Amino acid sequence: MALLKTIGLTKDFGALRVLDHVDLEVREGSLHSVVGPNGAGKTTLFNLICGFVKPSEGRVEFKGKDISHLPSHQMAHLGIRRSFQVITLFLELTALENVRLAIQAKEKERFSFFKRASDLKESVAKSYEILHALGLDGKAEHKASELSHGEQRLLDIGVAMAGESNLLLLDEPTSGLVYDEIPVMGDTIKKLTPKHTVVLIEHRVDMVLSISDTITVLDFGRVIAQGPPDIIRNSEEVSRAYLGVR
Amino acid sequence: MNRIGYATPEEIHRQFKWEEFSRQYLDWNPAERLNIAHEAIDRHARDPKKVALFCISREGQEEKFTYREMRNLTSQFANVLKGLGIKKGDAVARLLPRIPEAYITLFGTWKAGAIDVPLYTAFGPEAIDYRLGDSGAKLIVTDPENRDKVRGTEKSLADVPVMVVSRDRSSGMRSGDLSFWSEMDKASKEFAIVETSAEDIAILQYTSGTTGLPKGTTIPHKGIITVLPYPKYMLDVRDEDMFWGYADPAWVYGSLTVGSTLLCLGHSLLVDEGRLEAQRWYEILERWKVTNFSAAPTTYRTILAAGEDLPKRYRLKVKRLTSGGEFLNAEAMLWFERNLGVPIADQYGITEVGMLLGNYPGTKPKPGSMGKPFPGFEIVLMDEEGNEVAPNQTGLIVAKKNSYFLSTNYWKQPEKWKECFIKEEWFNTGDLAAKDEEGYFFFKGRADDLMSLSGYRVGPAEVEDSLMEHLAVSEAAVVGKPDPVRGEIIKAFIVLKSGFKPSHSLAKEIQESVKQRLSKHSFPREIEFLPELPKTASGKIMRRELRKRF
Repeated sequence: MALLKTIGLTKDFGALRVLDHVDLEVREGSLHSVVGPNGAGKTTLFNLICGFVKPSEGRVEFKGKDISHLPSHQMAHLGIRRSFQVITLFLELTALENVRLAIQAKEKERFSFFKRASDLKESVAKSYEILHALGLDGKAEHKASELSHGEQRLLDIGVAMAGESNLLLLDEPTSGLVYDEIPVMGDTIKKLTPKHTVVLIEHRVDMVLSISDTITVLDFGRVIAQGPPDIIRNSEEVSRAYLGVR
Repeated sequence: MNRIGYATPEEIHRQFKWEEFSRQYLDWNPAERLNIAHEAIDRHARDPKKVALFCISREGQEEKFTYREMRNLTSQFANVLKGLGIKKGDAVARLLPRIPEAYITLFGTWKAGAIDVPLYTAFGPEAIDYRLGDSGAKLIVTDPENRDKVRGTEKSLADVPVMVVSRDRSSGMRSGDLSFWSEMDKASKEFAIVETSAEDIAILQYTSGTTGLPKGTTIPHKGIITVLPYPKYMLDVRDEDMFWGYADPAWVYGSLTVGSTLLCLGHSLLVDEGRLEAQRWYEILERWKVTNFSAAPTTYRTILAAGEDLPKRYRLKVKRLTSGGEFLNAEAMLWFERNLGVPIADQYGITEVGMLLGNYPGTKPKPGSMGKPFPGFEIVLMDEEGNEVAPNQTGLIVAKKNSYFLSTNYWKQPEKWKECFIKEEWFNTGDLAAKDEEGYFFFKGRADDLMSLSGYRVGPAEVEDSLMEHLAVSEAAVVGKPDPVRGEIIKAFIVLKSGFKPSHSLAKEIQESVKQRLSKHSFPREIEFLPELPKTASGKIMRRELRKRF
């Protein structure tokens, strides 16, 4: 079943159509990547899914329900979480504290100064679980500022995973990473599925081809190819978009 | 990171298409005909209440002109021109300050199919004479304050009529002059716009070169398309905005970029005739509930210099500040963020090509950066041989040739235009920059000797020529010296003729003579006397050596 669906999703900014009738189906538990050259329309697609911008035409469905006009904070209640291209960590807190804070922030009703010790234990255990999934358990007590850039990016994903997330939207998690950190990031993202459903936005086709279940290729605001990695690898449109004239 | 509600600069840049854009925002089909006066004025005249200009006089009096009034006034002026025998393609010189008549003259000239030749009021008689002679102007429109600078010493100017703008219809006129408003009174309000194509010349804009005298660049009516994306994608002017572009219509930034474009989109222009003073600036911002403001860095530096107490006294609604014309230092940008809550988004453009770089709305402006490439232009950093430079390396800012360049040529000097291109394809701006990994451009100075004075570019040749006319001067060389308020000032190094001794009063006298002859803004604010000038073996002045003396 499709967890997330976009139907004829279109966005105009003045005279500029940045997204043009995009149809997308993200299966539950899958790793679905959206790739395309710089400026293809990926960020706007992401902003539409998160409710940061409203569509000019078409809609976004989550579990079969139209969510296109929900404000973005309600998206979080549905279990839609996103990470940003820019890292948004508390640098003076430890890795563990960063995740735990995110868990508690998303469970506000249970967060009070006089909270029960068992609750605290529970959120710590959950934070460890998330850090483990990201391969960061050894760094739990390190300040975020002491982590490498790649580790900070992973931790950023951990923050997005906190709480009950149904859908993780990851916006260019490889941005700013050095060459050998990229495969580590790719592997970690892959391991998040099928427990989580992941939509990954990337401009690096090579990494995406090796880890994704499904790939959607965007250019000039349109879907130019869609399907499993093998189909994308052999698509002429895709090589043209990436190798074509600047 | 992108703020909510905007496309990314990369999305806008990659997906922008000139044809679709002009189809959406222009009334006429530019493939058939195009006239800026129709797009900026006449098409909006149906609504009798819509305001085109809000004008503030020096004394603070306010006057407004609706689009309908502007349509009628500009048609009257076009009829005046027709009555004087001015035809399509003739040049009409406009030496006027920021008053409503400057805009009536501008749009009326276009309606008649004629070419606007803007002349900055800070110019002195020599600068004006040269430009009038070179352009072959058939009429000069000026005001009482500037009338005396039009001497007509060049023979070719002897028979060119001078028209003087004064509301009393007689002040400041010399015998034989025409009165702007008396002629207007007699003219009909009906005028069928002379048919112009997108390629017909609309403006002859003089810019300064490093060598030789100023060059006129020819801007076609199509130039409006070149700069129309600017208010949309850089200034981010919305329907609900009160926009104020603090720019003189004697320069293309004022006449087109933050002038005609805003009118094309149906906005009102706020035109302040007064001299720039910080307090007046804050007062206008508050009184007119300005939400969106654009100016050259010198304006911002003047306001900054007035201190941090002033902004606390006013209730301001400004949401976007943009700067163009010359390099904006990071400190100025951050001062405005601290004191007005809005950082200045720096932008970069040149008369020959258009707006080329900018800090897009929805992104946080990077301090000290000019931003990213403007929609519709491919901007690259190259060495002089045409090789692209690596990230973080300094190179020349070049723009790939396309059919939407703001200017099409240099007036009477097409060979100079050709020299501007690297490998016949890349226009060399002569400015240096480096690009970081995220694609932001950082200004690194000029490759040549052009000076940037409060946003106006001045070549050394014209100033040196003027210095040399003083009887005490044997040799002169000028360079731009960095200045916290003006960006750069002109510093002159002078070798005196034998028999003259360096003195403070002689320096003053020389400064005054340049001011009188050439221009109030491009005279040397500093003079240093030297026994000789540093020169290369072939006798060229080494300006680099002179700059070391600051």
